[in-house]
Amino acid sequence: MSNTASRRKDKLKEERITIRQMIGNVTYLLKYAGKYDRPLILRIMILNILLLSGMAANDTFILKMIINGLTGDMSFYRIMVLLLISLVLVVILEWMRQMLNEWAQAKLIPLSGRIQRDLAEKNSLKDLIFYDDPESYDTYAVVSQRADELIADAVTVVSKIIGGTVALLVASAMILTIDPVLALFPIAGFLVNLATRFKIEKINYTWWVEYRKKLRKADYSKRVFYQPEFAKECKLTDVRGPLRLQFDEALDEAAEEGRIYGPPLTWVSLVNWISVFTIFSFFAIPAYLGYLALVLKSIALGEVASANNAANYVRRNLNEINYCLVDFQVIGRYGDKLIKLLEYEPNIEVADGLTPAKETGALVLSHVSFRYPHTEEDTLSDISIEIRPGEKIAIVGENGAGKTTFVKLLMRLYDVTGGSISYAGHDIREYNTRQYRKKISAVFQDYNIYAATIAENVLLRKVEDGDEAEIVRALEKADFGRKLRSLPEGIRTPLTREFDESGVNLSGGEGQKIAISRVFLHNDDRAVSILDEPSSALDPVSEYKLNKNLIENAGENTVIFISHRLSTTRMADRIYLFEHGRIIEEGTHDELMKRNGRYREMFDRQAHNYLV
Amino acid sequence: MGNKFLTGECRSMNSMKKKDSMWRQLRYALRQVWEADRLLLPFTIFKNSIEQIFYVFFFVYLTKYIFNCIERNIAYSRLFWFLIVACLGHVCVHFICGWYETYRKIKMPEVYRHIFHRVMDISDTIELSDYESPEFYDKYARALDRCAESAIDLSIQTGVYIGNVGATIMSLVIVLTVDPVLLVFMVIPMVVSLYFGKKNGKCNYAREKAITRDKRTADYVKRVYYEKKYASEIRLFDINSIMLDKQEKAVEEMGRISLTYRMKSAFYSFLMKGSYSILAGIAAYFYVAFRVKNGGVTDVSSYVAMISAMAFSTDQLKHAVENRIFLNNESRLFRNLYEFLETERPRQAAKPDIGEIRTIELQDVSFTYPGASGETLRNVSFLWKKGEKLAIVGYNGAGKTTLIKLLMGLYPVTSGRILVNGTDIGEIDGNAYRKRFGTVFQDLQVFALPLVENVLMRRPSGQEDYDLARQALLDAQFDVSHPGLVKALDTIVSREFDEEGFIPSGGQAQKIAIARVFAQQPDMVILDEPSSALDPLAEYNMYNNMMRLSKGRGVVFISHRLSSARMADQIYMMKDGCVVEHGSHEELMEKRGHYYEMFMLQAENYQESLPEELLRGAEAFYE
Repeated sequence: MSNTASRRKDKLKEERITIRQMIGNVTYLLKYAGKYDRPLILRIMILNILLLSGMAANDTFILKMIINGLTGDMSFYRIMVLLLISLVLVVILEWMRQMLNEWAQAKLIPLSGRIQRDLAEKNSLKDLIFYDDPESYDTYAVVSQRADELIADAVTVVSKIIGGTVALLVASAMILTIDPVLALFPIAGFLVNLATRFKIEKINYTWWVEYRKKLRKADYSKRVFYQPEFAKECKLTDVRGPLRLQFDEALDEAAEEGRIYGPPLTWVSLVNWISVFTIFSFFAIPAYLGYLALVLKSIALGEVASANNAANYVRRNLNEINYCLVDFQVIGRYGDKLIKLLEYEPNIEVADGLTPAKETGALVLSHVSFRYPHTEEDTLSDISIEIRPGEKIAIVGENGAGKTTFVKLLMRLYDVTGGSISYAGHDIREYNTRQYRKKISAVFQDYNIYAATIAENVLLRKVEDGDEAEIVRALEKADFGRKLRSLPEGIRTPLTREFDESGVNLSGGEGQKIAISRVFLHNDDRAVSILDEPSSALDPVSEYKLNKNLIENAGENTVIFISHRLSTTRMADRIYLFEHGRIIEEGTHDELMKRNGRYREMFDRQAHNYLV
Repeated sequence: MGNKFLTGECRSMNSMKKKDSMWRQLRYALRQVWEADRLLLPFTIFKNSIEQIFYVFFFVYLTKYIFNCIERNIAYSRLFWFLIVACLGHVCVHFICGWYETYRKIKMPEVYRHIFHRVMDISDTIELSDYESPEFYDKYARALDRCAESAIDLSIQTGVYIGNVGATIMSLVIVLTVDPVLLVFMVIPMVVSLYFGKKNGKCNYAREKAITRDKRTADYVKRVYYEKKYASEIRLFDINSIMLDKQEKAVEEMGRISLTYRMKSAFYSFLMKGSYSILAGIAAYFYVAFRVKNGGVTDVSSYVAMISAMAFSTDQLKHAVENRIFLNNESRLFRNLYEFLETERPRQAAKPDIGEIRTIELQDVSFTYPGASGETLRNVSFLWKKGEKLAIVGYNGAGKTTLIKLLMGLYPVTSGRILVNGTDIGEIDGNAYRKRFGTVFQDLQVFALPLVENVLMRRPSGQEDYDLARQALLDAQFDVSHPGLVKALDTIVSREFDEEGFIPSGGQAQKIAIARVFAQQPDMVILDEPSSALDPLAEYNMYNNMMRLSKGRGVVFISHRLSSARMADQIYMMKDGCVVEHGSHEELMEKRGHYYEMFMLQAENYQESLPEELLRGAEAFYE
């Protein structure tokens, strides 16, 4: 038990962000939103403050005059005038409130959109390595996805809090006119509330984080039972048994979190409820008012009634501010992460420098090693390769030998952690990253198809006039021609059904052909083509045609093939065999066969079954 | 056929009258909470309604009491003690409600457990074709994702609703005792707000509908930028120019459409909410002022108290109406859950267990996917006998995977027959039949379970089970000493909820799925391109092991690599949904047809080790 208690304390400490930090974060967010559309933000905030203080004035001062009129000896005519003023005010304020509410929500959409767009662009400039740090990726991807809502919420919540506070001040001022002591109760209530509310939310948040973490396991386990992609395995195997056990265990753990965080939460809540509601509002105010009226006889019924009203008004407002404070905390907490994200300084993606020369240069890797962040071992170590212009190079090796990482280093998606890579005599870090990458085109094993037209999917940029013929030619070369002719809209066919009902879903092989066609595009800048397992989903006939076309197309370019099918690597000028991140054999096919080493062993195994 | 489940649900939908459907669904939701834990539901309702009812006491009754005391000049001590007693009562209620918070946190998982144990129990009876219909996903999967949280939310809101209604009625009764005319000022805005509330609801719905597509576009673009799989391409290509443009258009459009609808909405909300403040607030004051100043009212204090009472009860009323809308919307989800859990699914009549599989025969089978325009398979005939190893080869999209799904009885055929041991596949116990297969699909799944459970597909019960799993993994060429396996065979295969989890590569996932087959020792092994992500050595060894270990049993496998296909006794070559050639490797090579062509294409680069005359033959082929 003491163990869980100390664990709880640790957790609370971890999550601790001071109120000042939170206010700082929220201010930062507002300023950030202000950069985009300051008039909109100001208008929303000012209107909210006007609205809430107007309502407060009506609900306290005018009401007080009316009540005094009723209990005193004001003429009926004067009361009517007051009521009419109030009526006009209420109509205007209600109308304004609804308009403001709806108008702001609609206006914030394009603003959020713009913020999201900028974040997306900023995000695309982040070094890829950022994604390999699971912690930053998980947190920050979630945070920046929610950034637009967050910023919009910040505007709304802050204007509500300020407006609510102004309203409180108005109501307190009214109470002060009756009796200064009376104003102490709501203020005391407010302070206690502020202190305990933050505490309550902190515990609640920590519980929620832990609870969700446990529940994720349960959620996953139960989802398997009804998600279509798991249906086959569920029907054919007994996997439901262990999943059900895992589900039950996860729920037990989730309930345990309730046992840990429930009691402290209950105690703090009790302090909050009893002091803020029972003592400071339900008990103290009527008791004190009664005392003034019945014992001291210093105030009359009208004042009691309006003081009571005002006190209730204050309590209602406090409640609302409470809700806003909860949101405020959430925003403050997220804001902290968002700010870190906004202030992240990329290194590779924005690097400026030389522009590589037009003609193809030699790629030289000397003693290159690379290690992913938070890992114990080098993924690549001591790789030295020299690729002369126009050479055809094959990289072969087993799964996990580091082939794909090698490609990413060549494209400068990552920087090496040891050694250096140079192109045409300069370290690739001396080049402008964008310009350097223009020299290389690559097809990845894990290519993507986007919810855009076929043409856009091939170019991966905006389609301009005159691109069409080139796209069709590239698709033909990638053996997509037959499918293309069966599509009535041709290269304008939208792909995927993400948001277009008429979109076409391609099979794995067809998708791969689209990705491959990117290499066939005519490109003056290109000097190096990299093909990472380009044919894994293709049938043999397509694979054969593809390989022929690739070689023809490459012409004078340097080509780097990554493959584990040795049949495709024979045409290479040189072959490098990777194992556990190192080069263990290199040479031409014939040399490697003669050497009788690992390559020979692999080749023979594969060739064995092709003996007729 | 095959859609029994969906037609069953249609029937139940019609039988449910629209009028009382909200209450029925709500009752159903609450029943889930009640059945999960007998105390949670009453406790929830008590906690969330008691506060409002206490408020009536404080804001209506007590206010009136105090004002009367002051007007009639009653001794202060009476008022004081009255307050003390009331507040002590309130503190007691706080204590109960405070512990409720803890209780709810502990018992919420029970609601999960209750609902999903039932889901798990019936998932057996759902057909594969039901799963694959998009309707299934839209209706049930979404309902199931949210239903447990929603059931709790609904019981909380029901409590609040009961409290709202109770408080409204109580305060109305108090108002009634002072002056019945005052009620008019509350009933009218109630009617008005109900009417415009409905209009507003419709308007909101129309707005949501109008922006759906743009919203989906914007969400999609967002996803592209935050999912890791797109990260490399975004950095290498100018995808920004496509995606950000799409997003900008969608967002601008969304803002424009929203503004039009929302301005309308603002008008309805004004009438809805304004009617309370105007009628129950101001108009009532006119009346009270009139009565007090012109009529001979004896206790002015009661009237004054009633003014705040009315403000309070309109507030409650407003909330009651809002909550009703919430309850209505949220409980809709439970119609789907109800259909899912309570629809009588035609119980499969007990069919004979076929026992060991000796033969499977396809006679002239054709198949069209539900909703598809063309046939996926046409007039396929095929025979497998115990101990035989069959390979199915062919071009992309030839219908190979579909053929396998049919012979496992996962879909009913459109025409033709499938016979198992001579009996029609429809006449046998399908689940028992399928348990006899060990299958690796192309789109295989690994589960977020410990590695050992991923292989055995059950909890290991002792060291032997661990040994069995390890051996199966080794046979499947899986590297069990991989450094990523922090807890050896107990490592969870996913990082979804364990930071020390192991994320398998495509090849490793395939090996895990293959290991399942090795551990299971089934009558019949089915492999759908099991080696596409394996490197050559692993592939070779895997096939060797598979053939060795399944001696005397059956193997049916699909492969693009014909070098593996030649290990089979019989090869079926498929093209455009038909079997175009079949026979042994030698027979097919002699035929010089499609198979020969494909084989030679792949063999080209291995020709070095081929005899001279074959080399020449191959050259001739390419010219």
